[in-house]
Amino acid sequence: MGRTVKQVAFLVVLAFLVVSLDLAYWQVVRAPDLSQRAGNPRAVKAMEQVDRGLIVDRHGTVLARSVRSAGGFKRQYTMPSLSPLIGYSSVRFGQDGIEKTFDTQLQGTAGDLAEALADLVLQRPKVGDTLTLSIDAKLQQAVEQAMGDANGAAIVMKPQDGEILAMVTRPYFDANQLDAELQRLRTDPSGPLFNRATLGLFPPGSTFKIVTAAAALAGGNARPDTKIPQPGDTFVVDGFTVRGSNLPRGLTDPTLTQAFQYSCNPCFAQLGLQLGWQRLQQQADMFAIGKPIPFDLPTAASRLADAGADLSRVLLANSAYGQGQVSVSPLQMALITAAVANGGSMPLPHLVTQQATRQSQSITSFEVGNLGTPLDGQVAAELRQMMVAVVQQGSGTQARLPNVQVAGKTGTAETGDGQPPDAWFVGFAPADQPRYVVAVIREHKGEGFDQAAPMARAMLQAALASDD
Amino acid sequence: MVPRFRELGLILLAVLTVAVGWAGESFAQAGHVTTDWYRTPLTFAGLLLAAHVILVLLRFRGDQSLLPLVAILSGIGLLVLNYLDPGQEQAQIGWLALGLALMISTVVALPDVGLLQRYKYTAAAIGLGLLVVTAAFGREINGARLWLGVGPLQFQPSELMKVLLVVFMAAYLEERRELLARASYRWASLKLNPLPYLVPLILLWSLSLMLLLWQKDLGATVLMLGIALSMMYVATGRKTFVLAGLLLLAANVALTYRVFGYVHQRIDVWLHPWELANGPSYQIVQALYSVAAGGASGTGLGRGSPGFIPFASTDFIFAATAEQIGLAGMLAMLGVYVLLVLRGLQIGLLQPRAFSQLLGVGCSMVLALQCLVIAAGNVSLIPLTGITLPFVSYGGSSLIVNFLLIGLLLKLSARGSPA
Repeated sequence: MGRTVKQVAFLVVLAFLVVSLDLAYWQVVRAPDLSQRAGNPRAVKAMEQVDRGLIVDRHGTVLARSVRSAGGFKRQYTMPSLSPLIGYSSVRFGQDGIEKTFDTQLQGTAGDLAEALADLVLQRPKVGDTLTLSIDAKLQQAVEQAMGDANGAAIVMKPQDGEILAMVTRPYFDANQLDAELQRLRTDPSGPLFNRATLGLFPPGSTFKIVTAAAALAGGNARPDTKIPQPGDTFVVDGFTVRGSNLPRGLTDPTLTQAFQYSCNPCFAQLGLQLGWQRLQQQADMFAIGKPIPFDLPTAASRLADAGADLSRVLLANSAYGQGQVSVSPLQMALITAAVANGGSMPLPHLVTQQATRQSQSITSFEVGNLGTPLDGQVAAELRQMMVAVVQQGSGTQARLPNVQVAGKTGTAETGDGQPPDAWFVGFAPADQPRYVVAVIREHKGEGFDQAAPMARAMLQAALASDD
Repeated sequence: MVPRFRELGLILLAVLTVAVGWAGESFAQAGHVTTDWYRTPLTFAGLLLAAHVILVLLRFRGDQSLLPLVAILSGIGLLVLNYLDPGQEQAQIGWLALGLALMISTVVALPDVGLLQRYKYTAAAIGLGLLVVTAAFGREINGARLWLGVGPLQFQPSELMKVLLVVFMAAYLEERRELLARASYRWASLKLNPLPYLVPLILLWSLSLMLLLWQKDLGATVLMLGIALSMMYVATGRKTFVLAGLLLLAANVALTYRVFGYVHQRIDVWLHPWELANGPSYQIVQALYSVAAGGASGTGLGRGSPGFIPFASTDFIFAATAEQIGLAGMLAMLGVYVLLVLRGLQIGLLQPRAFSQLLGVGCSMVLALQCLVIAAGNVSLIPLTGITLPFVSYGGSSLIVNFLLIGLLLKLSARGSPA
């Protein structure tokens, strides 16, 4: 019987060997593959175990933080109006906004190797880096309130370095309520999950006259004091009648400045035809229209005309005053305005200014750049004077401030859907040494001069009051 | 008093290992070593040292390796259970105490192992009786009627069945061994046909298989057959018996595959785990994730997420342990099982009489097969069956019966081995 016992013993050892080999197969060979599988709950759990970094405004006010909850950490947001910018980080729904763009940093880059090793050994939660935004929470609040009951978007930006101080998009959502709300938000026709300031494309209306005027001045087609050849209440091009002279009674021979100041559509239609598609397109290209703007959030490319459009004279005449097929994002208009305010150079917009480890041992500032120089100094100075005139005596007087000179341009954009037009205003202050650029669109609220200019005024006032 | 220094040393080593694991686990969970971390390892050490001291006082001269080997396995079980469910871990300590008591009682109370031989039909009758009673009055838990209960106490009779089967088989085979082994089949001449001698055996199998299938306990069925086959092979050295037995198992599985949905499902899940990951194979897929998460060195005790596996503390403790101690730890643990089984087989081998030899081999094989079947099931090497990992899985019936096996092996070793 000894022989058979030994045989059985041998078989038992062999069987244990086979089990060991299979164990090695799963624990070593297949381990990387299995840890990545969608059904493996460990990935989710690992995400919950990270103490994600803080997101703070330019003064250190906390905008997003991680708080301990049942299974690990949960994100908490302090300003719902920033939800479309900051986005969310949720175990169920993934990430969006700054939370998505800067996910790596927020999860923690841990520059210190010893610290990282200690975290690993002691199984301390991974602590993410703190991100500082250029946002000023108080200003954001003020702009959000100034928006009133309108949908739309508003931006306050520093023209020199492109820092976004406030960015409001309406309607917005509350990232704290995502679990309960996301299904409804996704199907809401007003698009609360959609950041209108960066992704919304709207007809710019008369605010686009800045681009047309820039093309005319730069190309030598006109000077600020050049008289418009055929002024009148209307202008007919190939059977299409352009309306909206807006000139005060008695002004029959306006200069380019006056046409701009009062926002005369027939005047700009003529100017557009005089420039031609090529010149207008060239200037638009220099303002980076047609390309998505590099930014910390996704942006939509503005455009002069739809791809493959029939580039007719009628379309050209309409495009010159910001109708036709012109569509721009509010961020794009803010950048064009900033180029004028800067004396020609267009800044690279940015939202995240700094990344620091939680104990601030290592701080990285993000580089400031620019998107080129769409205007030469002379043209920028002339445009600035024209924009001052708009606020001083033209269509934008409701944006005037008592002690500070404001430059700006109104816009009233027909949306072609039978609803009231979108009210626009872009501008900056102080006019001679610009510190703040504003761009605002209030959808379907009517005329720019009384529906957008007063809001721009409130925004500039709040921004100037926030001066450090 | 006979000193048992080797046993003492090895138990201290096992206890120390477990204590270190305990400190680490308490640290991992609380972020610091809790002030009462030592309580459970101290209780654990106390129980094992008490068992050791009693054996010394009894002048017990048997084996000194079995108890330390079992100690380290029980210790690993407690460590893993504490992370999965501290309540179960506390209960398991109670079962551990009962198990050790039963082990000692077996050594003390059983005057001679050979006496068991006389009670082979009693053993068979008790076993069959338990099965019938369970099938008729048992409590159904998780879709299987495996439990007999009185008030809050419940017991899984199929656990005891294993021991009864070993006793019966050892006695039966001892009587018929010569006959079964001597003559080859001469089907043509029908001379010395051993078939009549096999009839009661086959009857026993079929009956137990049928009853077990009523109870839907595939794991126990496979285990019983494995035990019976290995003992038959050891007794007779005839591979034909093994083949016949395997055919019998295949026939049973083929039959139940058609008739019983659960067997069908077990096999489908085994063949296509990933396709059914959100359905019937959820458990095994979670177990594989857990095993894989352990990697080569494991997540560490008190860390990782073995709790994602349903029934982690019973059917899947092998996978849960693999996540925490990794391949390195698992190879060590499997090594302990191999040592335990080989020691048991050696004890069997050194017995003077066929009955006690077969008893030793049978007890060892019960441990070996339980471990192999559940381990292989946990890593999807074979279809999963719901049986326990000896000394590690949570469960009173299983733990107590496994200590009974150790008690029998200890008793055998005292008589047979020169140690």
